[in-house]
Amino acid sequence: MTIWRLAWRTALRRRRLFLWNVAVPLLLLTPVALSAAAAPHRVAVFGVFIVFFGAFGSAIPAVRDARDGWLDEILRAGYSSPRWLLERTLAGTTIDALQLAPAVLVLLWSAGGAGAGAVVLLAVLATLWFANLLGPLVAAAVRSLAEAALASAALSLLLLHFAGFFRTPAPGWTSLVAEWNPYTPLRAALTAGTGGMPMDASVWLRSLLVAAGVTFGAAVFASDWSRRLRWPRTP
Amino acid sequence: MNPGAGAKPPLVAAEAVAYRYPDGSPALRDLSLEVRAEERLALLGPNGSGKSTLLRLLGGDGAPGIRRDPRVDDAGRRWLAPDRPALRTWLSGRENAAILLELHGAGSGEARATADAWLARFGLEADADRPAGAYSSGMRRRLALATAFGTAAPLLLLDEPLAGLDPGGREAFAEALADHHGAGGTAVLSAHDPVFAAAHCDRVAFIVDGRCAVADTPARLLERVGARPRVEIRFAAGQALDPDTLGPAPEAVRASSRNEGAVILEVDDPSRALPETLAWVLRGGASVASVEVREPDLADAFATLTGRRLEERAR
Repeated sequence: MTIWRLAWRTALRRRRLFLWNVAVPLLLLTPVALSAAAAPHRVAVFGVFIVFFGAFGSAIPAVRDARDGWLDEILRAGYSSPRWLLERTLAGTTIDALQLAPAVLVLLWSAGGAGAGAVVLLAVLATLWFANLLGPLVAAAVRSLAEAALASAALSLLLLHFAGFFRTPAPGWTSLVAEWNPYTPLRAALTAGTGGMPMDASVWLRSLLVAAGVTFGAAVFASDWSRRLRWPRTP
Repeated sequence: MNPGAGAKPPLVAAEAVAYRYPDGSPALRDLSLEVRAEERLALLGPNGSGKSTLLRLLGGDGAPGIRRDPRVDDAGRRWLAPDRPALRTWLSGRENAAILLELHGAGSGEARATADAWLARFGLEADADRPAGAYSSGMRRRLALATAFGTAAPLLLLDEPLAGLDPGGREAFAEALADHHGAGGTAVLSAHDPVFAAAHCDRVAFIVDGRCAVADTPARLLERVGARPRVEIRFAAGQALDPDTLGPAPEAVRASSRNEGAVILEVDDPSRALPETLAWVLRGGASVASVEVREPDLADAFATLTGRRLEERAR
């Protein structure tokens, strides 16, 4: 678990940044949580923030690690690509969740949705896992930090849209896509946590299958992606 | 290549390796070179000649044309120290070294103890707890070398290990290299310092334009260029002369070549040849800035055997 330990050690060593990553979500999301905005609007703002938090926070360091040669050093040392990918995803997920927890707790407290706390926590973790997993995949397809940010934003917004964060999916293919979207549980959980419709357990099934499938696929193709990430420093 | 008497079998071999950078420009062209077990092999060549690319291929994940002995086929049995060490700048030097040693397979406690021992050998014990981002370039090099030797990998590939090192660092590196060799290790290093290569390496390969021009022991390379002393006459700035334009050379001059701002003359007896040699050169009308008499070194061998200068600019 060297990469896991490295991620935590780095995060804790950069205390100022760590605290900023707690404070900024609180400062930006608390007014939304405490506002009189309709529940779907609050859900949309929280959903976008949580997904962007995970996706940006994963893709940008992945590009930086590739550019600085750190990834190259890790893999040349003999560490396997799937281990690197899964450990960094796990570490990123838990660190992000810890940093976002105060803001999410404010939302649940303000909406009287503490009863949905466990479901929201699980949905946030699953969402952050998927967003953190996408980071290196996005990074492998781009060549700069700016491109990584842009691609992460575009991909995240697309997935959020098809998860029904911005409008209720119409019956038909958009509804089908929403059923299989890994961000749908977050929408359903946040909706339940803000006093909306209680979450149906079946929401999890397909989305988690997709997330598990993508995790498996990412682990299988990790060496190919990591090779792309190592371009152009290495033969 | 001359295998030499009593040569050990190759540990890694590049056989007619060609490699292009992602932008399509050629880095290696038909390069062949053997790295023998338990040898210290120096790659000498000007910037851009392909040394770093060759090291990366030798230490990489199985590029076409690279043949590795099973003893070093596993990534855990070799270590590449790149020319630009990648550091976690927020972590201390000790943590950086320990993490890489852990990634290479050491346990957490063992990695820390090994890191401490090697940081001390490279004179970094007092700075081990400082963030690596605060290290100078020479300290970063020491850290990278401490980590490399700390792995105890049987095959070390060291890209520009001397860059930025002060005399103390060079001495520590030479000692570590000798100890690694004494323990049966093999090391390939790229360098621009022919004196270090001659003193501390068993063989030297001259790399030019992505090819290995020649590889042999330093002694044999020097034999091939002759043992005549060199008179190097350096001119004032902008007054370089081509010896071919000076008319017939004095009898004492056996061969001549030019470098940027200097002519290099091979003579039998410098004390007797110097007056007439200087007079011959001064007839060209240039101002002489300095005259140096020295024994031939690997830089001369490089120039003679490849027709190029070690210090020339990348093409």
